[in-house]
Amino acid sequence: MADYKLNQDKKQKFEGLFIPLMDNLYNLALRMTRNSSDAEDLVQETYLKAFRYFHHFQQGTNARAWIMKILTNTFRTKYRKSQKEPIQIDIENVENFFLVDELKPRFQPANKSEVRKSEDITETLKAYVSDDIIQALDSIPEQFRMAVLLSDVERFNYQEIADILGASIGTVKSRIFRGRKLLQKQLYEFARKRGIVGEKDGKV
Amino acid sequence: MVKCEEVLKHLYDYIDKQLDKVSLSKIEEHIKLCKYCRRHYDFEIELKNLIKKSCFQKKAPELLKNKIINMLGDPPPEE
Repeated sequence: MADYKLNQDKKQKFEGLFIPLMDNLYNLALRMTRNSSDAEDLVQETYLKAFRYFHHFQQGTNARAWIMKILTNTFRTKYRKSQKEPIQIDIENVENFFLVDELKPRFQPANKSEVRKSEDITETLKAYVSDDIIQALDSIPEQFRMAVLLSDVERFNYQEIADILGASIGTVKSRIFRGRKLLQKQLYEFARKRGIVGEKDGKV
Repeated sequence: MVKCEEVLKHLYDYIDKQLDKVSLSKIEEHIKLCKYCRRHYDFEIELKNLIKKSCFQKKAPELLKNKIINMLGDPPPEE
């Protein structure tokens, strides 16, 4: 009976901390696995593992970072090997690519001397819908994608991302940088295919 | 004032708040005054927000949520 009570307490505590995070985990899992059935499996396995290792969790520390690390590790061991990586993109040549410069000519009204900056920038990105962003993200290699997701979607700082991925801060920084550049290059390709930007602007 | 080149090189560190106070205020100052770099900054912030919005559209399926809650506390499966 005492055991039962103890387990119920543990379960309640666990649920209180981690169940509210399930949307975060599910959305991240979707972008990691790139399909909903694997994402569901991944989230489920992550929760079961987290519950099993709950006694390792230190009360008062970042619960979201703790379970994200389990998610990431589970993904790596279970799903990574079976996934076909997208075609390798030339990483070296994207370092100095700035999407904002490429989109500029078309979206900046030439006759207005002063455009309010916020309107201006929002206009620039209006060319893209959420599906474009997702498609562009899915096209970049996993290690870069992960770093970008943890920063941009989950808003972890570099130290937290380093802990989650088991990498150095330098590595995290470089993956975020390259990941964002690859994403921008991909978004540029979409714009080019739709005729929003010209061919010659795309030389990088 | 720091050069635009320098600002663009450290723009992500600035946006992600990874800079020490001195570098941070140098870049902050530059972005206030330079329209070109401010445009870059605004764009990166907008894109970062668009990525977040695009990747946070779904809710975990209720069935999955209930299944997980029911499984918690079960003996671990054989591995």
